[in-house]
Amino acid sequence: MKNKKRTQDLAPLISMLLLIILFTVITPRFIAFSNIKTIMKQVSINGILGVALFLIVLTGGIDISIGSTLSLLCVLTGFLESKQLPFIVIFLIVVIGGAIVGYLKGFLVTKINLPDLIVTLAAQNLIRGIALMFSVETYIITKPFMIALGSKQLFGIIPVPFLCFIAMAVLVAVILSKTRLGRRIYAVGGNSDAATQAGIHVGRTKRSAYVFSGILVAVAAILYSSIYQNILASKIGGGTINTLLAIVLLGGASMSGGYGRVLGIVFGAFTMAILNNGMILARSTDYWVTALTGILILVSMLVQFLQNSAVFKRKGLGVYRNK
Amino acid sequence: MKIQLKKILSNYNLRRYVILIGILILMLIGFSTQSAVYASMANFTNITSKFAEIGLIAASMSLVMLTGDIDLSVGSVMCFSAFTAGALMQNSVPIPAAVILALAVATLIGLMNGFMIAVLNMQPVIVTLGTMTAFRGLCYVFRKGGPMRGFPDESFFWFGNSTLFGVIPYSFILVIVVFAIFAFGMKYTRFGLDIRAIGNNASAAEFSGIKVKKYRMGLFTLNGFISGLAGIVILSRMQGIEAALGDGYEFDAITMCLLGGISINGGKGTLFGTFIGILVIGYLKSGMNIVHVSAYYQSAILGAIILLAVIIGNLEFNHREKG
Amino acid sequence: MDEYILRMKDIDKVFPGAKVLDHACLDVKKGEIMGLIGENGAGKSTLLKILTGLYTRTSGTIMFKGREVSYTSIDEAADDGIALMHQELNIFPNMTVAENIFLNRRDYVSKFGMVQKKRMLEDARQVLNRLGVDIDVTAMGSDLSIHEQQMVEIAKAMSMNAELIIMDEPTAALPENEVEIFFNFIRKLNSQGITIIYVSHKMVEIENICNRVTILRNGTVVDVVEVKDTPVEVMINKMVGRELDEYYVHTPTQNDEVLLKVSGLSGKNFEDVDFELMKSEVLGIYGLAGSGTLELAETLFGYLKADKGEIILDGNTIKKGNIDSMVQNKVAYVPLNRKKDGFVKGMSVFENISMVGCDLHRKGMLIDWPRNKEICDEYMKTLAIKAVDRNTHVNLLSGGNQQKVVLSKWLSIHPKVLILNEPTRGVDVGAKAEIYNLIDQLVKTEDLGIILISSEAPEVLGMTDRILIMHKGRIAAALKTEGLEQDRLLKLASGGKE
Repeated sequence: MKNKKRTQDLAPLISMLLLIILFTVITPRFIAFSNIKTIMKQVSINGILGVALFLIVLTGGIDISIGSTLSLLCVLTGFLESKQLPFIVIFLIVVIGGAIVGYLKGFLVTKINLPDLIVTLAAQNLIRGIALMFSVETYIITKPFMIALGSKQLFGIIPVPFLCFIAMAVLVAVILSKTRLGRRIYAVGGNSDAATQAGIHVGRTKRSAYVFSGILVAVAAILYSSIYQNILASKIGGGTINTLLAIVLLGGASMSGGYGRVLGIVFGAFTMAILNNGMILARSTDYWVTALTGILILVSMLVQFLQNSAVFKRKGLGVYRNK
Repeated sequence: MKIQLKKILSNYNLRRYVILIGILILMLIGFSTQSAVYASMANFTNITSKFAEIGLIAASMSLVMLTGDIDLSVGSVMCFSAFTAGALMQNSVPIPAAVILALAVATLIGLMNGFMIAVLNMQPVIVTLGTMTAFRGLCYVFRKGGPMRGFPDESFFWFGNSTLFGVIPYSFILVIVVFAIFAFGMKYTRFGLDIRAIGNNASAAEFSGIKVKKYRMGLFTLNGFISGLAGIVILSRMQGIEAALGDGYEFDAITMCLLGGISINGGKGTLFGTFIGILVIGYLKSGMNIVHVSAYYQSAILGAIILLAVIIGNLEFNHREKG
Repeated sequence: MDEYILRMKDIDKVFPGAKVLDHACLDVKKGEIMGLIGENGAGKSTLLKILTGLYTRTSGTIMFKGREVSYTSIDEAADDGIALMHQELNIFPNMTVAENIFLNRRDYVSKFGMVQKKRMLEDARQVLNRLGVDIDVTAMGSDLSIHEQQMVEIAKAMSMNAELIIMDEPTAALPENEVEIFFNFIRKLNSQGITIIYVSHKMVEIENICNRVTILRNGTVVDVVEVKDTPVEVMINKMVGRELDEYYVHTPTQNDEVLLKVSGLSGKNFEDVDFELMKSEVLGIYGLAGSGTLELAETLFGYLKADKGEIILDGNTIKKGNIDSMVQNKVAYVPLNRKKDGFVKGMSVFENISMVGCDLHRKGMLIDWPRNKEICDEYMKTLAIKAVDRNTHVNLLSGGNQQKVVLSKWLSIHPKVLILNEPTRGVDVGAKAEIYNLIDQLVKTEDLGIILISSEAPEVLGMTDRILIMHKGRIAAALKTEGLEQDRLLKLASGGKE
């Protein structure tokens, strides 16, 4: 059974390697050192957001408002920074803000019992509207610490945001595989009826996932502000959900919940970053990137479908009939 | 009289109509105090012409949502069909042939959605988010992100820019005709009963001999076709097409359906409700423009409305469940 | 030390509008296997849910191990040594066997809040060893057979060091040939001093495994009996509350015209089925759960695909085996799971009844709704469907009336073959009698044949002309009902030879 877990991570890894080979052949500049640094920087924001979406998907839910939540929290960061608050205070407030937004979504989904799609579809517009209200002018980050956070490199090689991304990924991976909350999240996504029977509070677990996901978005917002320094709500997070969904699906997560690992999501994030970067380097118009993202989503769904149907055929799982 | 009123209010659909028409009247009175133009015939012409495309989409979206599904790809498909028709015309394909080909393309996209969802059993949200992204990207590819204008024969602009008796735009008459055909089919053939049964309980519907798969696939195909039709209308009205056009149309169409009483869980609501929903959203947006609500606030307000509509629908649903 | 491990006394439970339990008592001796039987709605599940804290009781006391207890959740009950094995298997397909056993257990979390996976693996191995089953503890839940899933469920209960295990219809998902293996486990558990409450519909199982039986009827305990001193018929009579024969009204019919001929039919869970259904005949198909009756019925109706074989209706071979063409050929099916597959609860009586046959009555191309409404009213009248009017939503009706709606839906197309799968399950006694009456009336007045699938022996014996007995997916015997004894039926159905 260990093998099965490995092949789960193998697929995203292989698609990533294939893309690397492809782009290296097309343009040698792709493999240049400076370009690799660019990719590392590019992957960090979407990587963290991908993990944030993955948490929700694991419980069997979906959140399409992550992009607008990012823009709201970036605006909050810019606003607080303009008030000359110390970094740690900014950080704490933004994280708490992210947690609150997450909780509210979770509340509507689990307590009021609304479909997550509609809640987050509405939240996307609502949050975006609020972000735009507060973002009348561009906030410019001037705090030296944040600028350093966004631009410094460890040993002159590894960008700090990338380190943050890896740290977050490791943290989430540990929480998911080693703590009770993590196992509960998998349990709820795997079989929510059984989870209820096992004494797991399904609603509470889902809310925790939303809160946790909101906190990750907050971290991404701090990093985003630090890297790009100019914050205007209307420019942030426009088409994010499609990219994030592609990351999560490429990463091998199942949209019905319960399956997938953080390592896969990391590979998925790399694949998307490489695709984006390589397409531009290869002088293709970046318009193709959007189209390819959509096609990748559909292809990953098909692959998932083929895998599942193979498993179902082999096992003849009678219990899952009609599910 | 009193009993009559009570009877009306106890009926889910009738109650919706009363509330929505009440809101419409209130808006007409309220916004008229701000601007004399608001309640005028000219504004009616303006609104109905502006919302004709979304109105068309809302009609078939209602049917899709009645079976409990959702289609997020409509805006992209509309834009793509407009680009296809436009590109064909620019390559001197005669107008009727170009229109038919564009409609065929849109129908095929719908069929593809339907096949993946109904036959391969994938989640509607993810599949249509994938097609939405893919075809939006392809729209950008057409003119490298730029608009498409200037056709050899521009006589078809007439349709999107003329009115019957100087009051009702022909495009809106098309909306009314489509609604009428659908409503007639719902009432006098098995169609209406069948799709509501599927939305309420797909399993029981299947055990009653209703072809659930074919219906779902057919409705997604129909939705593709109608989105394509909306694309032709918008091409004619705008006298050209831009790659970003139709972004967010899926959201507006779903809002109209939900507001009109179509349940997000499927099985409940009427086309007439959606039709009033179109007018309410149209007049609301127009009113907000008149009192200079910025586009940002507008999206927040729409987000709030969608949430409210779903919460109210859900409360009624739960209430009835208990009874 | 008290002889009784559990004493539930005078438990009342009132739901809005209905008293579900009325002074119910349940006393279980330490180390015994106590059976709990009762018809659907008698209050078995409610009683057990009150015990494990899923419901709160209106009044009454519960003593466990000599202390008065009042649990508020399954967790609390589990901590105290009461484990509940559910009717449905609750396996997480995405987790290992070890995790399935120890999921959500507080005592497997280290000081730093980390889940102790190694310890889980070791302990899981130990528990499974103690049960004497060989399952890889690192296997994923999705890779387990149903039997293995059951074992994992038991291991879960064992691992909690439960002193009392409640088994609610534990064999429901188990293939019939594995039931005996499962019973051996129960006996083994029992010999280790674990007390068991065994809830089941199947009298054979109760007879086989229980020491004593508590019989519930309409929320009250009718009697507590020793199994070895009490004949099954007596228990059944106490459970049902009257002599059984009373409401089986069917009188044999005679017609030699073959309506439906099935030959060499094989499919999921059944193979090589041959039989003929005559006109005006009620043909019973009797089999224990898992014997393939459900799959046979769903294949006849076109829901499942047949692997091979032939179905000939009225002399014509049916080529396309899907529901749609079956309905066109006037084959009707009243499914087992009424709520899920039978009716559409959010829709009205009228909409449900006209769901299949509404376009049989048309004016030109258009459906004639007034005519449909008349037909609906006729059926509501002849079948005595109790509803305010035809616009009442079906979920507001009682189980029996819901079933009558499902029946009316099919009768409205005047079927040639009517397949009834457990038509009286979850239906109150009055409606049960009405449905039996209806079956008898139908074969005598309408031009059809009925296939009645049931796992209730008295029902098939009382209502049919001939019986096919299924065992492990094959037809073990086809016999005339007249003169058939219940024990012979049971024996054949459980694989016995004559």
